[in-house]
Amino acid sequence: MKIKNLTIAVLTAAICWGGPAAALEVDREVLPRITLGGRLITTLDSDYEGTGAGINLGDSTIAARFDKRMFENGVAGAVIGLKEDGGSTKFNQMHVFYWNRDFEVKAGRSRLPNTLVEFPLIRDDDMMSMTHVGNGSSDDEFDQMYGKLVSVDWVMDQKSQKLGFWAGTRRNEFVGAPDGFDSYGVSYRYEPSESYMYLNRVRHAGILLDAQKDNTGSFPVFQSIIVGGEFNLNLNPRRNWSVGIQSIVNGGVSGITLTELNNLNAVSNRARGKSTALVASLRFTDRPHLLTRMQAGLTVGYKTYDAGGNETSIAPSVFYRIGQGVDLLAQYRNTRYSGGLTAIGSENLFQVGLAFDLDAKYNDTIGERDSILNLEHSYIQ
Amino acid sequence: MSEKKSSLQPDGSEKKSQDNENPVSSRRNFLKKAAIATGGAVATGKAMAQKTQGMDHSAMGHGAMDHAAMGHNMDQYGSMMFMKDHSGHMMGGKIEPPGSPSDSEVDYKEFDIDIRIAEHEILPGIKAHMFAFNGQVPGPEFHVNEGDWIKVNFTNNTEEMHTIHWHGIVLPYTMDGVPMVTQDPVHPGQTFVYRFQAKPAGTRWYHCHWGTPLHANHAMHGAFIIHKKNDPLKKRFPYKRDYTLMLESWDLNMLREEMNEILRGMKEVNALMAKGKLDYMTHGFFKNYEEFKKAVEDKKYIAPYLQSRSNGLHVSPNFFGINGKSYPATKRIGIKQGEWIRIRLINASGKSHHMHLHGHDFWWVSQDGNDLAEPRHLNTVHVEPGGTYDIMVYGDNPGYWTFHDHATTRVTNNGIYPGGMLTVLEYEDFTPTYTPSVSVDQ
Repeated sequence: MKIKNLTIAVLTAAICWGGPAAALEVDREVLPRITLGGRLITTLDSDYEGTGAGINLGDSTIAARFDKRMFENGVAGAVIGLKEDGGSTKFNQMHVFYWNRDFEVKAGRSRLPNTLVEFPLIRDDDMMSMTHVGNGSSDDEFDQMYGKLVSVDWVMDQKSQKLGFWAGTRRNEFVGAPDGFDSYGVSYRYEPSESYMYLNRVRHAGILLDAQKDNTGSFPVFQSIIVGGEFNLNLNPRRNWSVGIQSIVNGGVSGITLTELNNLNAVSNRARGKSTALVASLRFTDRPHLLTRMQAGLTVGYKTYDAGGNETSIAPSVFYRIGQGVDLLAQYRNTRYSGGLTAIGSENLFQVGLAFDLDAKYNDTIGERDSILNLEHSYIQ
Repeated sequence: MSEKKSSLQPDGSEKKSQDNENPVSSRRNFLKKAAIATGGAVATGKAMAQKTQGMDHSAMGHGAMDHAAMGHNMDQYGSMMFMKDHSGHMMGGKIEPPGSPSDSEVDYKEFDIDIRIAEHEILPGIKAHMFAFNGQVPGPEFHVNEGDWIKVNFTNNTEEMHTIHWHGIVLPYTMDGVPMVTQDPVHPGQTFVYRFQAKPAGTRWYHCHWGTPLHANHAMHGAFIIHKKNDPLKKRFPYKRDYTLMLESWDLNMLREEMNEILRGMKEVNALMAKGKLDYMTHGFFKNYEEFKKAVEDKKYIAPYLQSRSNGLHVSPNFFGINGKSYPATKRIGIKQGEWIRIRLINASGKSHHMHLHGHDFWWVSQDGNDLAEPRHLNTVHVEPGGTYDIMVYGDNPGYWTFHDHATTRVTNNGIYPGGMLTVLEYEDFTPTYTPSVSVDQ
């Protein structure tokens, strides 16, 4: 009986404590702000991963952010997030961060800063070969977007400008590929708050430089330059038209051939190949009573490889909002390959579905950097 | 206790400062015009017609008055919101509504007051941005005589809409400051001229009547004291000093998030307005209840209070205070032995407060500005939201005496006792055997 009670007591203590051995004590009365974010998207695809019609859950994510005010100044916290990836679930976010009035620092697994513009597509990866700098060391779709990094952003002015630096590790799946830090980047971004989304001519713009070590180890690094932005054609928050445009010029690895662009490692080789991509979009947003109800978009993309081969995509899409954060959506995407380049994925894809976007905050004692009170009245000291 | 740095007194003299801090310059600027009786007309800005186009007031049904049936000539009244080109005219300009004598007919005491976003310190380490009259919390304190004609030029220097409601003052309804009931809200950049006669005497106050849980309760409030000639209370309780205590509560998290959301939305509203493209329904206004009801039923308007758009307003004040400060930053009330003082309590917080004075009984003499038929002898007075309660204290027990809300969760700062709605009655003419110090964590 005593042994049983002792066992229960030990287990209870272990469960209740649950903290790592090296951690200092935590005052439980100072609760963190908790932000739950994520998106569950389900579409019926006319061609799911080349197997015919199917149900696609891709790009579904959920993440939780925990943060607190610091004693002196600034805010620190952690983000943990999960993402559906081809039938399995992966931690796409697992990082800690700190920010204050002048700097933002992040360390851990996170989204790579390898794109500038979110085009009006139903999923982030819908034209990924054209919209993101790829991972030259992995053919996994997940690894094209996520990696481990340390980043520092210097907030040049509170309203919009940031200068960023990062170093990190893209996941590699090749024997002999470099370990440790294999990627570096620098960026200048003009990023006004979303509060001004419909009010400024420039929604956001920037230039990124991305450098990554090649997986063969024989070529030191290859570099890409990303330039792009989104611009309002009219400054009407009721019925808004905007265009997005982004170009990626990839210096690539010397000697990549068309054959390599088409072989079993086509995804990573296309990230390594010298190429130029240009993507542009037209977006219309209808907001009766300033409540977003509908978005229609047309995105077109073109990419050409020095080794030969081109790909062209066109994707009209429509979102119709039926509730806060709940959208009916549909998209058709046509991708054409020419010049000897073979297809990766569906060339004709029609998708219709429903997306539920989650954004909930609890115990918000902090506020956001990009809030109007901070931008215009220096809330953050 | 209020900061009566240089407020105008019933006899026209300046009242001396009751504390030792530097005068607030904005308050001086605000009040200096009080001594000037102006008779001249004020130039009008943009043409601001008061006529209404297209309003069918005879169709007003449920919840609204049938003005036509009541014989009112509605061509003379109504909101500019429904004028076809209203949005191009609503920015800037001066609004001078009818209802009070013109400047040439009576001598007005003229005041300028504005509303702006100010960073206000509640106590060391705790600052918040607030919509604040003349940038101060609470707003400037008026001291006028009963019967004075008052003219207040109210300028909106924010991107949000506001009004001023003169709480407890009997005035023409066009001056009452209730948006879409007695006037259009004062738009960004506009000046609205309130004219009225100061009556009846007593402790009154003023506050914004637009979005009151945020605007009025969090900072947009101030005292309006109307002094009575030959005040009978002064004969029974011969006081020379009086103090105004505005009781306040702040939910700093709600304040921050609501202000951000309001400013974000108003930027879009103002952008459309500047282009003359703001549809009145986009602004959330309707000509009458029937139009509103039909818009909701026809699904043409998704009302913001529907469960699909709102989870409700959750206000949980984490700071409480008196005259813009939380203890220990609150100012003390001075008294001398053998002295009567008058304390005017004004509840601007939206919560009930139970103000208890240690070591003394006091006389509760007035409620909502009106003298009680028979004063009551108490040591705790229950101050309801929106109400004003005047008490008389006699200095007969030298010492330092706490005066605080006895709903004790309100004498905390962000949950830590002591703090909040607490101050000290301090005798100025005795030798203490124990001198108070400061403790903020018990």
